[in-house]
Amino acid sequence: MKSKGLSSLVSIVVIAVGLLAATIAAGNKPLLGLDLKGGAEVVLEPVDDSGLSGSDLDDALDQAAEIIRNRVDGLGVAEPDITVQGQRIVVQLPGIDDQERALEIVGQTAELRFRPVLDVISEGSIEALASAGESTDGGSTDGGSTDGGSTDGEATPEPDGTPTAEVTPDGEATPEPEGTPAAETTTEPEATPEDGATRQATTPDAEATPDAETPAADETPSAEETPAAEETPPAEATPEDANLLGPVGDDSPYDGPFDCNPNPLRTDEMVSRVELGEGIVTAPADDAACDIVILTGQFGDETFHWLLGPTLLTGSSLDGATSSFQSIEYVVRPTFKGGAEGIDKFNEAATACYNQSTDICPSGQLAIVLDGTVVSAPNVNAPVFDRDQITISGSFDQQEADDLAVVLRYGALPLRFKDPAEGGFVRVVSATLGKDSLRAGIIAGLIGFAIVALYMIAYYRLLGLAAILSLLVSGSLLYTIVSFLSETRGLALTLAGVTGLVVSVGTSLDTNVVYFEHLKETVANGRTLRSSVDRSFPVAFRTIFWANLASLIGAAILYFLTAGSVRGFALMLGLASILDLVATYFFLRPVVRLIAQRSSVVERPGLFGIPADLVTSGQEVTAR
Amino acid sequence: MSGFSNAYRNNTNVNFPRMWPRAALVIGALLLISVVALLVRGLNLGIEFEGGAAWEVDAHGVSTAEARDALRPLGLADARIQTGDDILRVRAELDQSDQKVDEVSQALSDLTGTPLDEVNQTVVGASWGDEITKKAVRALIVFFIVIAIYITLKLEWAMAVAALFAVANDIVVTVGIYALFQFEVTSATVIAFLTIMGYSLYDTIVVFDKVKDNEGRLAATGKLSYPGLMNMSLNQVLMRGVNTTVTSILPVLSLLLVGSLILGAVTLQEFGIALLIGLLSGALSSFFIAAPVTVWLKERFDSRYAEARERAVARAGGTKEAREAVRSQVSSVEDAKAQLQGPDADFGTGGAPRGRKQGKRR
Repeated sequence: MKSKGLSSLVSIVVIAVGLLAATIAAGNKPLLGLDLKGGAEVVLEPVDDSGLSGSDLDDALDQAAEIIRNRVDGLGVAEPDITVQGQRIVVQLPGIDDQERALEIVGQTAELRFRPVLDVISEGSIEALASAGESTDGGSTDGGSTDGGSTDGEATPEPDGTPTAEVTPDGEATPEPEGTPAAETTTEPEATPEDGATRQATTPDAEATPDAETPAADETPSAEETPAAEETPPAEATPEDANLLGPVGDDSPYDGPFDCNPNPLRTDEMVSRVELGEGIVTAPADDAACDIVILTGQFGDETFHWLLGPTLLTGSSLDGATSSFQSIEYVVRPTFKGGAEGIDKFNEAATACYNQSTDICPSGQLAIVLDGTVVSAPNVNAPVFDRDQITISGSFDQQEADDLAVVLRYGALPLRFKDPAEGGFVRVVSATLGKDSLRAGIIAGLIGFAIVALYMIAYYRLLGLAAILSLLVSGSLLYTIVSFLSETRGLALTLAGVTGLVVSVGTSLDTNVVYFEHLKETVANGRTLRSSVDRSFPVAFRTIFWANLASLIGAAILYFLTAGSVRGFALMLGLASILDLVATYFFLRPVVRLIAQRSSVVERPGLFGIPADLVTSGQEVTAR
Repeated sequence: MSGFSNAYRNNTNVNFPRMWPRAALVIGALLLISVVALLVRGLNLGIEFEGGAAWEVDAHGVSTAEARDALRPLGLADARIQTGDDILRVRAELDQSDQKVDEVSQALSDLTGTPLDEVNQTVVGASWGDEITKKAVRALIVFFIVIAIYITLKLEWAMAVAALFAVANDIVVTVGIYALFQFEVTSATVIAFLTIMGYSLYDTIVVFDKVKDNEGRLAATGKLSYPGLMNMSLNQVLMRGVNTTVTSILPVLSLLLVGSLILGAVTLQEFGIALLIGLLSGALSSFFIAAPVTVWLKERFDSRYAEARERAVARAGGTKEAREAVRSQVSSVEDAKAQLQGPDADFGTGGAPRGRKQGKRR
């Protein structure tokens, strides 16, 4: 019995101290909520017209949150926190202290742009280049492409050609299971193999061929020269130089200035450098500002880079989009608005791409760009379309088709949201005031703790000391858990949470008070201190257990049925209730028992806050 | 022995039933004031519930009048402007006009000399609060139902009803004080209300657990009246209640104190006031609401105790005066204890007490 208590005591102390030390050593600490560290908070509430409910709505909200998260991440906001709470999306942007900027970041409408594809640069080609000479050809690269062939098959960045799809007038969709860029153009009689070959020779795979017979190999860094390439002239080239450099890759589809690069390299050089993995990619945020951009898109496991021309039309030309299953595959059907700003604009772009106009759209592909990311780059298979008779196909699976339709329909978000200033919530907290609140909370907590500790020790003496130690044990466990949840789940400690913790200092001592009072009563009833210690605990613990269970039920209800700060409070309340029980059972019980073993204490019950005469008066009861 | 000395020895002998009628008057008066305040003055709902825009900025000695003058060109001369703790607070019925919201921030920054990025601003849509309120009310209803079921299963239905009465009282009184003094209700306040609810309930369950425990052992005797049983239990948990309340209130007082000393910690102060009132009310309501309501229900709906009471009245003469006397007259705690616990009474296991003595009055 004694050793059992002792082992639980030792374990809990070791666990509590160990976890606390590990938490501190790992640098984990509770994340601070916006009200404590400053920043902006925007709450988005969906407009009720989506017709979605239940799990569909939840899915849509999750999807929207994910899209917003990507957007915010792309903009480089530090530690953003985007969560779905109930039927709202809460976006917290620490460090953003201007409301307009916050709204801009969260943005009601994503930027959907249609840009012509000038060139496709696949990740695969970068790998191929990197492994040049060692013919250990990454499985992802088409084996044939490394031999520098210019047969149209190799133009495909990826064998299954996911990055590209095709746009066809309704009913003419000729599903191309392979969906390779080259294969698609072949649906058009004009796209003769020769044509294809010349153009496709310009595609990255051809260019990236290790034994690059690129005409200007001396200027374009080859794979072998990679290290040096970083310091070589191209980087220093002035704008004039750039223009004077003349056509380097005369097979390049586009060799005009690359306007979104700090160093005015020519575009083909940019392409080469991207292929070298030097990461010269337009920041998604610059998508709107630049004409010629290099953007990425994720297809399957591969990241592709695309060299894209100026925006031909934006999402505002679109009216809607649906996805459906057509004959053998899933397709997406966008609908454009009528008139000059709608279908006419699209047709203008379609004509240019269909004709593979060298100036505008040499590849014949029209990329759909969302927030600076290429979501699809279908080939255009007709010069003119009716506004509601358009099909995008490209061996999509159902999910891909749905996602693309969502992107086209809503620009970005699968739901429409109310203007945050009308139906939602925008808050900007200055970092100074936040820090003041945090400081006040911590000081109040420490003072409160000190006073309570004095009171407990004055009233219960050694027992009071044990109670304070027990509080420290549960406190360090709580700190560990909160830090861990902060680290893994993004749980942030808000002012409400801090104050909740301050209050819990007092209430969690109740467990001890109930026990000690019961102990005193049992002693008064004539029992010895030692047997009272053992007998009182189960009774007191049972009471505390049932009372804490009620708190826990309350916390759970609040947690699941409310949102925002109330939720954070409920979590703290629940955690504190559980840890209170843990610390009482595994720490307080053995500690009190251990103290009661010492004869010096038994002789002087005053050390337990039990008046010596109480023991006698208990005996008087017996005598009566 | 002095009162403290007795209390320290857990040797109190307070006659709670005799205090109940007077307590009921006080509680009734408080409830009346609360309800009237709520109906007449209403709650001063914060921006989160009403929508609009609000700013907070270090005042640096700027007065409300100066602030009003500065905001007049923006058409916001009628905005609600307050200063306190050298913090200037402005609230206006602005909604979507982001332009103006930023203009006000700029104006306040210029006026007070506070950098723009240290101006707190909040804009809340009008429908936001409805949603919060709806959710909170729904959560509350579920909470009450589940807790009622829980107490009924764990203890008994009369106690469930009584506990909810006590909790409801605490909430009404706290909310009433907010209405009376027009404290602003924010989401921090809502959390304070919830804390109070949790605390009140917890406190009541601890008391009732004791009653149930004593009743289990008393059932064999059938002698002690329910008020007597309740009184004894209340005396047994009295010091625990006092100590728990003290340890809970001390940190809250420190919250209030620090909140008032440190600028900008207004939320802490509001939170502190709500908690202070609520914790006191929660501690008292266990003794003065939950307990008498349980007694009342038990004596009406539990035939055992109804009969015990009638027998006592009959023994005392059966007159109206006798009835009164029985109501306020509870055997002393000493007697009850002696009756319940012999020298070897096993307090821990709830086993049948031995060495019982007959109470004098029974």
